[in-house]
Amino acid sequence: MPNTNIEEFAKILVQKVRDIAIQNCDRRLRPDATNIIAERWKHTVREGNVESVARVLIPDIVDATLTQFCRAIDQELLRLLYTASNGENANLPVDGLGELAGWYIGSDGWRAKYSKERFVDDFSDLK
Amino acid sequence: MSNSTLASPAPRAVKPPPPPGQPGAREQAPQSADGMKIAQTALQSLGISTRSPYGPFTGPPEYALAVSLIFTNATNQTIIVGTPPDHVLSTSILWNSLVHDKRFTQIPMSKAAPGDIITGSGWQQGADGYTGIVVDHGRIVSNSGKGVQDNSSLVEIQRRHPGMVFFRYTGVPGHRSYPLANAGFNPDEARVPAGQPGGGQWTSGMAPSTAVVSGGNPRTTAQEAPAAKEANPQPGKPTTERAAEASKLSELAQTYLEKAKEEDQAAALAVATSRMGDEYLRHKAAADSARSIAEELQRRAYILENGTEGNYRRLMLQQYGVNNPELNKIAAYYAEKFHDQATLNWLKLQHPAERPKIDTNGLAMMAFFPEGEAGEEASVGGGTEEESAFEKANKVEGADTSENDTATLKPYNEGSGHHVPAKSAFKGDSVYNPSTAPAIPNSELDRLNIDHDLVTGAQQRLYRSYAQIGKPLTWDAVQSIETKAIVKGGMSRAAAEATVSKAINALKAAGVKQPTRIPWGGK
Repeated sequence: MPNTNIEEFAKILVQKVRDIAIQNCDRRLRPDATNIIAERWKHTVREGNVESVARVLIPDIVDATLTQFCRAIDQELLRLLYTASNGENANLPVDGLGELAGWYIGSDGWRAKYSKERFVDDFSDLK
Repeated sequence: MSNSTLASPAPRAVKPPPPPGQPGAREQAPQSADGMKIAQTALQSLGISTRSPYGPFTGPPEYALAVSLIFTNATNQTIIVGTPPDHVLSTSILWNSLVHDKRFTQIPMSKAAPGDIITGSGWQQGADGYTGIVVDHGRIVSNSGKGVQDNSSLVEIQRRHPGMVFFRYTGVPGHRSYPLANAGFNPDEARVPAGQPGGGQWTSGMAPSTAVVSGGNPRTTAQEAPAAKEANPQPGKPTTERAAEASKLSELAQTYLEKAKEEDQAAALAVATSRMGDEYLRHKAAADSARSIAEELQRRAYILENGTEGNYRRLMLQQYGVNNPELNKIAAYYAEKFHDQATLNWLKLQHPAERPKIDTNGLAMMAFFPEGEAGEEASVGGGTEEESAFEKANKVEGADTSENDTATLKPYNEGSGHHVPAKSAFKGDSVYNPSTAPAIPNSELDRLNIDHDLVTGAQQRLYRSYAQIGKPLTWDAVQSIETKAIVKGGMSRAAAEATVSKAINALKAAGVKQPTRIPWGGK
């Protein structure tokens, strides 16, 4: 694409969202990973077939990717404006206060509020 | 650095508890001579480094190993029936064993006395696979990244880990004894003398030529006594020494797999009998832990059996992955096994205390290791610049945790990563600058394998909960919330506390007075 600005966006999207999300997920596969998601993956792989493994991994990986997308905005790597249906613009890095990733992945965040598909609340034990 | 604590201090005596009615006295269950001996041995072990004979499995510090060795030294018994003292590597398996072992009696925390063993299974909320030994005045001795330390107290444990259980060794008349000779363990085994490299370390199960102190600094007596090493008479084939060790590791792996199978069955039984709660979780945790140890043992056996001087590095990286944060320790283990002095030299460069220069061997090996690791380390040494606030902050706190466990903080603009605390807690503060604020850099998130998404989600949950109580955010609350969040991401509690403390100290030192708002809490 000839538009250099869009190319810049594409590069950040790929390197700071896609690639980082993959790296984050790869870390869950390391032998020293003991967090709750890594344990869930290991447990599933040990006891499940391909379909059941995929059913667990798909939402986790999608969530990891979208969380990273939000984080890239929080970190002001992606300085995005959103034009709402009323025509007003939201400056996502500024108006989001750097909290978008938390709003996405958190217990009572956007997944819980808006998703119609499965997800695991990994924070329900925290008080 | 962590190896600075190796010198063995003079033994300290255990003071008996005051008699009832005296100041400081409290109701305690009768204390046995064994208990006093265990406590005495624990105190005598202060400052001594322990290590697994087969290297780290579950990440330092190896609490279970230290307690096992101390217990055996004190009582001439193995702490887990049928398991050699130096093979006790899992807190959850130890916990599970103690629960069923008639030589031990569970004691409420209020009656804990010197010699009692405190442990958590690792699956309970707030009990992160810790175990230690109660000594006097409610203090607890346990392993740490700096070897055995007097590093905790009953009061602290009660506050932080209410799920912990105390076991008292009472012995059982007529109970079968497990003499140390049968366990392949010699209580009189010599330790490396204090003042020498590796001073005070138990030598049980250690390869005769290597002592890896906590923190992963490899030392080779090969460097001190080159003649002690024999060249492999058949290059390209495993030596008999390596083959024998591989066989031993395979057998041990099999033992752990059988243990895992037993625990799986016990977990299944718990499910079948509708005991899905604690009992199921306990057995499942023990099974997972045993399986994990077995897998590690199998990896090591495989490389020892199939690796040669020419290809062991490639096999190692295939088995463990190039991004494994334990890679240096693993490399130290194999380098010694394969008599690879060049790698040992390179690894020495990773330890700032022993990084006087970069030799050509080191450079050659750096090219072999993943990019970044070597480069970062090489840039560290030798500087005499004034310490920054971050460097100072990075040195304080966390005295009872390994430097390898805690995250080294950097200004956010130097390493990106995770802001500690959340930057939105300081919105509007004229001093706070998110670009220069403390953060766990990406390299540290990777090294410590902290799951950033889990940390972020936990922050959101915990700050939102805090917002509901309607009070302003305090530094103490920030410390608590941020610690829990990082623990959720995969760091140990002690290391997380130390990391957050460092960050808060850095902010305070920079002039940040207090948080201005509750993140995810609204305004």
